[in-house]
Amino acid sequence: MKEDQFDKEIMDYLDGVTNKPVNEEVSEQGEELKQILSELKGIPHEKVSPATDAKFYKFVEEKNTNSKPIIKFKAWWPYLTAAASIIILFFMLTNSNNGFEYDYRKLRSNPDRLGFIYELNKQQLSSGDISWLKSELKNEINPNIKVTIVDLLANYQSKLDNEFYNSLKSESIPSVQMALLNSLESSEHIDFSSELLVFNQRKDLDKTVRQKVKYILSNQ
Amino acid sequence: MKTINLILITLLLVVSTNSYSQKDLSDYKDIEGVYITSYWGNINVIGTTINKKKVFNIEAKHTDTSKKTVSIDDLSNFVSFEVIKKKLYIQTRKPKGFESIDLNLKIPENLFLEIELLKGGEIYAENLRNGVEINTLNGSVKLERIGKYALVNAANGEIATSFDTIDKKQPISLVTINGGVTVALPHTAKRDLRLISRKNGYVESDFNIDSDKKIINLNSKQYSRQPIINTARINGGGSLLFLSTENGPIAIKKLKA
Amino acid sequence: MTGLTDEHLMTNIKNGDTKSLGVLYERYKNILFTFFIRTIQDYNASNDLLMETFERIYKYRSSYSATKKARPWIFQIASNLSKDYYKKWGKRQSIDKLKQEIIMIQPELPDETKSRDKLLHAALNKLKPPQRNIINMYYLLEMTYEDIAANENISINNARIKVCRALKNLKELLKDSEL
Repeated sequence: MKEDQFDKEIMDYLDGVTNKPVNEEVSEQGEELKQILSELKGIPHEKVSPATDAKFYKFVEEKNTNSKPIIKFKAWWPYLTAAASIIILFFMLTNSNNGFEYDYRKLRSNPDRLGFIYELNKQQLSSGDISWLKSELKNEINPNIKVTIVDLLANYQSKLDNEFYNSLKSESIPSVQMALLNSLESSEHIDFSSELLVFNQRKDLDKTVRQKVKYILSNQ
Repeated sequence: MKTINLILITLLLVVSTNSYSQKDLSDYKDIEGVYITSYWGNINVIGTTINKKKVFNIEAKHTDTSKKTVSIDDLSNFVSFEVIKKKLYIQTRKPKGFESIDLNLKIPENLFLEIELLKGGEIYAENLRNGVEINTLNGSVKLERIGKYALVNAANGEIATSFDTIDKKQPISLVTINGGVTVALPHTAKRDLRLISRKNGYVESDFNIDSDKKIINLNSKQYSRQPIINTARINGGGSLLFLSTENGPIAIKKLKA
Repeated sequence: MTGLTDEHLMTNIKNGDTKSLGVLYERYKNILFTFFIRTIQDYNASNDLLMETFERIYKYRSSYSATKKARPWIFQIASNLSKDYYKKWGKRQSIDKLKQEIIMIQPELPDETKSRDKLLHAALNKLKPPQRNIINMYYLLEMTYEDIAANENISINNARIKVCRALKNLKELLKDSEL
């Protein structure tokens, strides 16, 4: 059977549209692909950040301001006030980050982002700020920025939990690993021994990083 | 006669040991930055304006697993070049065994430079006006007469940088695990400092440092067993100068005026 | 307002009703954001593209025909944005990803840390962008073959084959990562 025809039969099987008897190979492949599709559909969706929501609603507000007749605007006024109140309440509840993330997301260059992160040392960060910084640590590629983030978050030890230190698992840059380990070392409330034992089994660990892990384990 | 023989022998030696393959890069016009990715090997980059004609070329030398240096007949078997959105990406091939490829580049001094050295080698760059970003694993990084800013990350190797001009709004971040960190700045530089030397370190500075708390072993050149972690300022403060090492001293020098 | 169909909302938006745009945004923001993240794999850019999708929905609202379904029209805008993004930035992205993979030096993560979701994500990320785009349109946006075909400018038959090939490649990548 030509490949195109074969693939067409698999898709017929997958979509449940086939009428004729199906050969074993088609049904086998079809079942495997069905399984994968079902698993893909099960992956939770990502959530949009409050900063993007803010940007969108600012866009909507601008459109409202620029739009036409006052008489029409007045007719919508009560709805707009209600919507604005809901939005303000929404942000009070979910977006207590003083707009830092929103400003940060506008920055494109590595030095700008690094400088911005460092300046946050002079601010009082909210739980929302710490939350986006933790996820930024995972998403960021540049190692100097990552080290600066860990250095900043080390000021908020009580808000750093096992989940934060789990970033070690996916971290491969030695200086960032060391920054996380140094932060872990100064933490008094975290027990990370079992995770460190697993981390220590990695074959790619720098010698100095491994020494640090062993030191922390021996003192925990 | 003896002199002629000597000259001939010298020339022969030069030719026989010269196993660098060359490529002219001046056809890559309208480039804003050079991005180099390599595995093993030394990388040297010199910023150029030779008689106002900006020289732009690359030399590469290959050393195979048995440490034998061989000439590269065709550079394209070892190094790839690609331009994407005004950025020239130069990438060496994935190493076979422990082969290394040394790169010597001359690039226009106004180009931005980024280097990623994934296994090891020494990095040297000089006279680049538009900033440098380096990520390396094993080997030292030396930058001279750099302008604007630098972000350098290393694991095992010292970092030594000198800036003849800096952008007062841009940070400088030099981070390593094993090795000292040295930076030389114009004497008028105003910086907020973040100094971290976790063991076997001391801080040496030509500048007067205004620090939040006493800096252990400042200017004493005595290695401290205690971690040195300070936030400070020079010349009243400004953009960030982040200097961090797990193991080694930190030095902040003034460039000679 | 929230009970209105997409088509009704789009008709309102055509008349300049930004409140309906807000409802549409709340309805589609997470799925579109997920689509962008899984297609272009850049968190910052995905936020930007999400914004741009809704800016375009508003800007080009007059081109929407009330006789057609709104959902495929919206998804077509999103899919075109992701393709344009990849054309501009994609190769650079793939170099960044290559570097990340190389820097990781094939870490030996213990089996217990690999969840099936992570394997799926990793396998999706390894697909070539056109295949990733098609798979995401198929399973995530649940676009019909007709809509996928119209989007990709191919026949419906070809669209089915492309979806099949993308799924088969994904299956092979998953098998490799499980070894």
